[in-house]
Amino acid sequence: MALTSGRPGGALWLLRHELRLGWRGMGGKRVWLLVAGVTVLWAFLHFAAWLLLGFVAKKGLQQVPPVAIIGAGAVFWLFASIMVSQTVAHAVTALFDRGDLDLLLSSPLSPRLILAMRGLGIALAACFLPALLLLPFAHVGVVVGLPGFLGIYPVIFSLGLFAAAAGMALTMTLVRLFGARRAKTIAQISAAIIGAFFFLAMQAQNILPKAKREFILNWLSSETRPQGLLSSDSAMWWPVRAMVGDVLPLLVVLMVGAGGFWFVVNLAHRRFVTGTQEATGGGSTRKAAASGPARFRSGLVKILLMKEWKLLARDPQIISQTLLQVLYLIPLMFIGFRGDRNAWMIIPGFVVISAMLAGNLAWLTLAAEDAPELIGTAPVSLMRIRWIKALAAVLPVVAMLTPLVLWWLGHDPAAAVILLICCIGGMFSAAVCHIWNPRTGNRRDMKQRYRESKLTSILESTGSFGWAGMAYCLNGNWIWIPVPLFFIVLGPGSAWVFGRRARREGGLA
Amino acid sequence: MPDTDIAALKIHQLVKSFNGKVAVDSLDLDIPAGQFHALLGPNGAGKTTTLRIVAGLLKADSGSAAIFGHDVATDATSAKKVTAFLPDDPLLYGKLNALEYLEFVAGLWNISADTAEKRAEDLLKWLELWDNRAEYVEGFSRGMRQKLALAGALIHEPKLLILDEPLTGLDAHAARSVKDMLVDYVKRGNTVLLTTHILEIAERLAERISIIQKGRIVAQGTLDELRARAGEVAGGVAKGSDSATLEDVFLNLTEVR
Repeated sequence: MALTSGRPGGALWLLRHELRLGWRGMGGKRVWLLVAGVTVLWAFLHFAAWLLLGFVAKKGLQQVPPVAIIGAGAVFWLFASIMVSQTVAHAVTALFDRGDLDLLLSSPLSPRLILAMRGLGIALAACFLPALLLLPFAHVGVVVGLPGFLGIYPVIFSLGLFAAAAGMALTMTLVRLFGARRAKTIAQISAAIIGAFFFLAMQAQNILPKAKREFILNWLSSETRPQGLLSSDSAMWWPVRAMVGDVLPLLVVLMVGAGGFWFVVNLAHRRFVTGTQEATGGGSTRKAAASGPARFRSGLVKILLMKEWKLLARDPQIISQTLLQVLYLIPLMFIGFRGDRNAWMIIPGFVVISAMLAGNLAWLTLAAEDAPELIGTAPVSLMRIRWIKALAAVLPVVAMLTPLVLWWLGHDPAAAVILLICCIGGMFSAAVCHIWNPRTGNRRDMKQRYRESKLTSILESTGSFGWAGMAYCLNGNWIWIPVPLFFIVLGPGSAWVFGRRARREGGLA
Repeated sequence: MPDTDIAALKIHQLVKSFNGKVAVDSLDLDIPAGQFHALLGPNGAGKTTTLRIVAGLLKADSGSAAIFGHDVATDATSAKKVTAFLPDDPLLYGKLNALEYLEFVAGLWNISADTAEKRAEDLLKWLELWDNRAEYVEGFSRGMRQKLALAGALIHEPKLLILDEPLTGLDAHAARSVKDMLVDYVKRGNTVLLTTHILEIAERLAERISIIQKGRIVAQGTLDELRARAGEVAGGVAKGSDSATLEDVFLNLTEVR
């Protein structure tokens, strides 16, 4: 034990602590199933790498066309940006959400060591995905006579360090600029945006007007020619050259990664300490600005809706996570507004995404109620409160869809009506699963919610896919209507049956 | 019929078990209106379970509980209307400010906005939270949360106030003002039922004390009556003498059984 875990208080010991927490954050014991799946995938990837590299080895590395280097380089930067967005989110958690920092910083360990090991933990976690996908090439490279491919190992590690350093530096800069509280909001939202950026970029086809698209294509093809900004000799693609064993690029990549990490840790450990103290000290940075007399509203529906919306709007984590889903709606919206014949085809997509969004919000308003005891002791029927909460989840999504519905009403009224009916149907069917099969959750664990209540999420999607199918059938495919109808009834119906006991036990909202 | 003729709380043969483990065992308890009653017992005696059933948060396996004649199972809304329940660790909304929280609670109890505004201002000023009224609750200390939850319980002026371990986390000053408030509240004709570990609170405040153990009331009475009981049980003069504190009495009654 002592050998594997290192001296208590030492670097290895701390790192082990970080990795254990990270591992449990990923799901801990239940991850073994995932591990089995990943192993199979890994074996398959080795095979694929063997096919590809066998071909390269026969031809010789020099014969690889420059386009391949540019392509691989683009993929590399895609990975890098995804990793940075991951590490920003991760650093926010490590800085603000995990409760152990007070303990660590009050211990006699040096804050610099704590920060370095926490950063290393973040870096290793970020390495997971690229390691999974790229290491097979390193292994196969050795076998087929391309030992240079072992460069993938240091490049991935260096990339992880770099992403961790960038993530931490970004997070801490935000703390410095905006204070710990708002930094958290901004970091989470920007992580969501970075993550969604590539999705949107891939959807550029649908979003951009034709002239713009052609301009970008022309620019790309001219710059990727030799001597262009993005030509295969460009330093932009050095990481790729480093991965196949080019010495100079490899050294530079290592220096940038490890150096960047060392630099951030050394420069910032002081700020790290002040940042966390501000975040966990509980001292409200809000001045008591709104300090007028009490101005209350009355009416249960109004008050309950306002309360739910305030809680949703004030939680940065919820905003960043739902924002991601809203971003996926944008390309669909653009297709919708272009108003061609394909419009009918996107209605089911709208139904599914809006139902998912409403389902998530319904989980927040219904299952993740912060004060169930208060609701439970109030002299109002619990069912009435639950329905109002469901309404609080559905209305914001309806508001988002309204512009499109109105626009379509002028162009294709039938489509507009079907969109509205099926979206609202899908949203309520998702929300109803939470009303009829009540479970309690914590809004901090939004990411875990699918794992915790698998049943509810399955029922939710059953109903919403039913409504999506209904949207398809209503477009003249009448004969198939019984099929989606079956799923529409099956989802909420099962929630009703499965939730009997929880409803009878009652009490908590 | 004036309220004083009906018991503020009448519990009859209440039973609740969790996974076969009995938490409340045929419990009977009568609290007349206008009484300050303390429920005292060791950890796991069934105090909280009893209170949660009365508050409508749990359903009993059998037996009944009625608040001012309204059965908590069959006439829950009427029962809840006149009751406030303050759990030991009140869960509040971190992202609401103090005023917004009180507005929400007043809305749940259907108090008109005009009335609620006035009460909220009085309560917050009295609990010394008025200056913090625009801050999010997540920045509050434990004591401040406790006080805000208390303000929430009082904003709809319940006739029966049920408190599970109040005063935990309050500083001496705040605890004192809460105690004064509870005594004053009973003087105005309301009923208070509280559970506590802190014997001194029960001793000082409560007119009548019930000692609960293993889901049953094992002794009930005024402090003097309990002292006498404890004396009988212990069979000695010293333990039952006038000088015996509630702690002696409590230990005597709960240990012997």
